[in-house]
Amino acid sequence: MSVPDSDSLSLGAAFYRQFLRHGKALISSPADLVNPLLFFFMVITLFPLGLGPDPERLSQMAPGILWVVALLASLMVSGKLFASDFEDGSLEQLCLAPQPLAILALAEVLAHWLGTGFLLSMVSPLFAVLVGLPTQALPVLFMSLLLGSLCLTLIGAVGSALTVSIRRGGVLLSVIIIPLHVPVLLFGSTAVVEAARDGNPVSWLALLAALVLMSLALAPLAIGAALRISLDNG
Amino acid sequence: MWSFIHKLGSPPWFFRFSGNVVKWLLPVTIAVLFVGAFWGLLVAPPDYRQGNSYRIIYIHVPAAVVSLAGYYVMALAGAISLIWRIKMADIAMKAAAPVGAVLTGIALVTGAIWGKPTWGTWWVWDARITSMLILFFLYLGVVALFEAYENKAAAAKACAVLSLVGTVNIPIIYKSVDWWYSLHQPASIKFTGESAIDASMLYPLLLMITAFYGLFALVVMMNMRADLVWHHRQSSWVRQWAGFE
Amino acid sequence: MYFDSLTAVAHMDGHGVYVWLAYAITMVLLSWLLWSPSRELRKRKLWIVAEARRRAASTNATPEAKTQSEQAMSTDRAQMETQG
Repeated sequence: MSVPDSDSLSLGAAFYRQFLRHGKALISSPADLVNPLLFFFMVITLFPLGLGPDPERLSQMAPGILWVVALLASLMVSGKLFASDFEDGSLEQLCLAPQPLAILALAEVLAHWLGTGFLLSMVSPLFAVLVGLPTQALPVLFMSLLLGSLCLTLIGAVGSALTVSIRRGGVLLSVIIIPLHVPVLLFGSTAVVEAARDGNPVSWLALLAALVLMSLALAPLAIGAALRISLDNG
Repeated sequence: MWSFIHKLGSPPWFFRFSGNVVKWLLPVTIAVLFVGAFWGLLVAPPDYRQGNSYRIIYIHVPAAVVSLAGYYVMALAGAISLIWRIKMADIAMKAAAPVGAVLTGIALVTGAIWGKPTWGTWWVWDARITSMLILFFLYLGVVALFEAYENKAAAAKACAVLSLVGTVNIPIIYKSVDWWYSLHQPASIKFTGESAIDASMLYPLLLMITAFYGLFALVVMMNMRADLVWHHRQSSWVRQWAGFE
Repeated sequence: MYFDSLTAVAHMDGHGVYVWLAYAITMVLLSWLLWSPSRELRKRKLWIVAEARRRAASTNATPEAKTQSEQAMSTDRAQMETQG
């Protein structure tokens, strides 16, 4: 895929073009869209199998189970975020572009999120049934996963940018990113827990929203720096 | 003062300076460590509620405090290395990471050992221990990232970025774990309660914290010295130090 | 001193195992932290001395040995470059 001349593009246009390019790449391989959802589906079923089918216990654990599995799914897809760009050399082109790397990387991350975390949050209410999440918690589950998955994708992108030059860097990515995911997990799952027991989830969702805003502001900077470092490595 | 900081950036100057510091800091720190440990173990009275097992506090708290401070030191060194491209800051960051990780490990292990006689279990997911566990993971991530990179100059930069990201997260992690814990735990049970500490118990604790800070500085400097000597093994100042030329 | 006898110190009203276990593990780990870099420094010093001797020997040696040791030194330098 040849890279058209980007010098004449404004920041917004460059952002939009990067966004579309990555989005199209995702859509062109439907397996990449569906597999994470299948993963989410199957791993959730492992929990009743492992813990026993008792509906009361399951529904108590449901918020945690759903959130942890969503986190794992996010880790899995994060590894692929910049990998293809690194391999076909378009990452170098991105770094040479006149527009700030952070902004272009953000475009890619957002496109990636739409194809992964966003979809996951859409289907999550379906799978919530499998673990007996109380119905009143479903809207909060959706909200928390929508916000949370964006956060997880942004943080995961930092990890991906740091490890893209490392062979078999997938496990390393999880090792460096999981501690950073903890606050998102805590706020997100607690929001759902609160909703499930008729408490007040709003403050927890607000905290999640704060994390999202912070990640949107800061992660791209780290991603840009990390991408250049990775190119130095190999 | 600025000329001092400027000189620190020169490997031969730093090597000479740190050599002199280590020469007196090592015996002083060990002395303080032993005095503090002796005081805490044998002189201070036992705790009203916990009995003698509380004496683990004299290693658990210093290790925890210094491990947290150490992460900030490591991240600061990383930031200096990234922003001003000062090689010595790189070396300081690399030197600090394993020390901080071991100290966090000590804090976790001693915390667990302390938990057994106090609460009956080896592990309790209370706010502070959980936060410390995540700090341990953050350290391990930095070490793992460094080992994974082939180009060590790029590795140092990558670890600097990761430590900075971790630094921004640490207050968030600590706060979020705090809120998570207080929500899931009924208010009547408080595992690590805040009780006023008596003077007879406070002084040995302060001594031990000082000793641990000293140890941290010592080990970081010693690690840096070993690193510098290897890095510059072809240069004349190293050969002079080794006794040649 | 709070304790009366050495046995009391070891026993600590039943908590001795825990206290001494914690202190022992800590002291072992701290000693290792202190000892490991100093040992590393000593090892490297010996290596540098040995390397300088090798180089001195090569300047008195045959041309083949000279190029061999020069090659060794340049690979060493190249290694140092990638290691930053």
